[in-house]
Amino acid sequence: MEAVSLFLQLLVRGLITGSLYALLGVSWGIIYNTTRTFHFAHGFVYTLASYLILALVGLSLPLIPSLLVGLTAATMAGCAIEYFAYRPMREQNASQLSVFLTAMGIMIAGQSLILLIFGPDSRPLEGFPERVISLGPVTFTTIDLFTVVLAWTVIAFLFHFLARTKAGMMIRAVSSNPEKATFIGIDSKKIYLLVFGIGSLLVGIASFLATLDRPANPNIGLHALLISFITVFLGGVGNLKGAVIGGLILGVAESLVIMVLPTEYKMIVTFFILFLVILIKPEGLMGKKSV
Amino acid sequence: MEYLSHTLNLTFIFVVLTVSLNLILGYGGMASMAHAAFFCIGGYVSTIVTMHFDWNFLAGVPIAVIATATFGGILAAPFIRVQEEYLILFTIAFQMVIFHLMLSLYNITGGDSGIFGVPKPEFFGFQVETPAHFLPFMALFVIIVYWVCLKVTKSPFGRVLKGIREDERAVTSLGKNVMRFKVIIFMVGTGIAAGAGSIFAHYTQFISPAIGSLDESILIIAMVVLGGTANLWGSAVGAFLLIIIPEILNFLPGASGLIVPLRGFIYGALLILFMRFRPEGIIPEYFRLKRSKKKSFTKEDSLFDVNAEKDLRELSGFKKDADHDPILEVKGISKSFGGIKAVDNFFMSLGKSKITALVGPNGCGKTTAFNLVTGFLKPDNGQIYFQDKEITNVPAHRMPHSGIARSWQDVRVFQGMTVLDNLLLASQNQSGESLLKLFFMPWQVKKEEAVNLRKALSYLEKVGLLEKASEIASSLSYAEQKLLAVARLLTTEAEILLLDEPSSGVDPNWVKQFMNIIKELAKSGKTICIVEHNLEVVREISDTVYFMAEGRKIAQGSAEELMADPKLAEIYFGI
Repeated sequence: MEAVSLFLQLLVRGLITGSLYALLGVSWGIIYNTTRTFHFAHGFVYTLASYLILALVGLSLPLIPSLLVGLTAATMAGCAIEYFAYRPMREQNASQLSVFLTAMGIMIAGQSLILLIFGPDSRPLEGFPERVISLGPVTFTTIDLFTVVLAWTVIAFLFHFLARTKAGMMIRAVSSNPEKATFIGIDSKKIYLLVFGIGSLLVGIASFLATLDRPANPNIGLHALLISFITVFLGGVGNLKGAVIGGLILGVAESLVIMVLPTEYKMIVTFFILFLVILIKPEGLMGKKSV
Repeated sequence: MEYLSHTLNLTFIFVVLTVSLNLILGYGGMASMAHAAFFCIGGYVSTIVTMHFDWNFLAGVPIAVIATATFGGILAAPFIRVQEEYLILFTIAFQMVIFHLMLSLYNITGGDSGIFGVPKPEFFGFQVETPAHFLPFMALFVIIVYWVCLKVTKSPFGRVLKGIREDERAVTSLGKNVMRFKVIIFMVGTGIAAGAGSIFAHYTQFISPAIGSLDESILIIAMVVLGGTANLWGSAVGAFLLIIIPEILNFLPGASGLIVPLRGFIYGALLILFMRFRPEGIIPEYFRLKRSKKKSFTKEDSLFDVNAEKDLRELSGFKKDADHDPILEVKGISKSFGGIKAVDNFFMSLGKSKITALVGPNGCGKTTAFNLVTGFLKPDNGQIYFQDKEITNVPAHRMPHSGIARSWQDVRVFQGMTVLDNLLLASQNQSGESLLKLFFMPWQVKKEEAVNLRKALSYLEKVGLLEKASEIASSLSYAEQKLLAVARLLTTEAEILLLDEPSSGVDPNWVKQFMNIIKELAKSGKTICIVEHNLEVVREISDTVYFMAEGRKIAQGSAEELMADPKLAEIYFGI
């Protein structure tokens, strides 16, 4: 009986984490699927959003305006990275590796800058009414509930946007066949900028939700980055639904593993799943085999 | 003094790490994000072996090298096969798993706090104590590593690696197993990193997972990239710079707490700036202090001793089969992509020492047929026989050795290599492509290279490119590059040559030369199959013509017969 309620509790916890991971996954996935840029600097955008919101709240600005400023800044940061760093390199026909290394450079330099300015201490984000909710054997907080609701609302909006709007269809056209998209008059440069904006906005939201739950430190970006691309490759490149599924699987697996292994094996399990999937099905769980 | 010696020793360790990563990243073209993990594993293997069995460190180091290299090779092999991103992904994943495992398995690794009291090195009773004592040994270690790496990169093995970085498919078509080369260089690189790790552990008498973090891996990559990929001297410069800068920062007043973020900011920024404005690094791949004089070769150099060649062939186990005619038979092969039948129940036989042409409208399946015959595609059904042996499922990289080699419509010569190196790479069964032979039978490698050089020059002479032997291939005109491709194909010594549009895109004067060369080749015993659009060429040189349309053979005969048929003309020209 105790095992069952533990299982239920962990499952719910896993789904909550999984919702956040799914959001992280689509935020990186929309960029990668469309531009095929291994956007390592996504982690920096994540950290930046969190620290900006923290700083503004620290200056006694209310939570909502701080959030809006933080998200705007994250969106602009993502676009700026695309515009000033990746685009010129693509135009120079730089190798994929050099683009990746640039992204890594931005990540390292940005993260170090935040560390320089704000110091290494953890900072909690306060101001959200946190209460505990119990439903039978399962307990969670209002923050958890808010996370799940907001994450899925945002994901639903994104899929609606991609399926129903003109801009969304253009994004899908570019990601499925960039060459043909150019032929029918789509400016892929603008689309690239757009997806960097969308992806960065989404990762800003994810960052905000995560910071509500636990204090931020300058290194949070790396973990978020790892999760975002693992979910994408796990679920399947080229299929954004895959990233959602991948995020949920990862969240639940990380949580349930506690039943059999000590907590410090969480990260190992995450990567082990990735290993197995790539080894057995390199195109990912929901990816299409490329010819 | 102690401080200086220690900093120098540390620099030496990082030089070894960057040089070894450069083998993987610069020469192998694979971004490994797990170099620090292998460094750390090496340290732990040696620590555990020497402490547990109370062995000398001279036993610990080689065990660490071999164990880690094997481990790395086995793990990486499945990922090297797939695209570049997957290798990045895999190595990051591997890096994180190893790091967290080392933190978690404290019974073995000591967890966060690591293991103290790793035995100091002892050479035959002489204890190495202070950092200053260590200096000569570290220097020796660096020299050995440099010697090994230079030897590997400047060998026939290194030549193939260079080809792989330029064009994997072209290398495969010349009979090299790309996977094998990539896995081996990955193993060599990780092995050397493990060696550095074990020496580092014995030097500091301490090992902890901290030296095996993702941050360290990224630092090493940054060093390699800043120094210059595929230049071993650049790696030393990169390592030196990124070690020295933070050491200098240390002396700034009030900077003590800011060292880590400052260092991070500086090397992150350097990485961005270099990738944008100087992606080749501080010392680029082809950097030379002095301009070396170009070697020129004369006709005399190209005469080669037939007996020497015979020895060589026997050494490599080459057996010439009895003559078969037709030499190649294709029996009903088919290949579909999705719903489209690119090649449909196709039959063809090549007469020995004859020139066979494949003609047909664009998209009729000629190139697909080539890809099927040379193993680049597997047929859905049907068989292919070469000298009565079935070769249907022989992989592409074994075809030239079996006796079939192909050229490419888009030439695919190695643009960054000299004309001569283009040819030398194509020789089959080179001892210098085996690292074991390279290090343990260097005399054989040397002898072979001398023979291969003469042979290559003789082929260059045959196509009229002898004077250009030392030129970089990219400096050649298009027609010359096409000639080079033919000479390179000859160097494989395959019996059957499949030429994909050998004379397309070159002007009529050159076309004549191509025709003469091809006719010469057939006369000297080569069997030739060409895909060609120029019907003049087809008429002039071919003995048999196959006419293809929609993946099928629809006619076969001499050029005159086929050209006289109005129905074929209609299909061909779409009139």
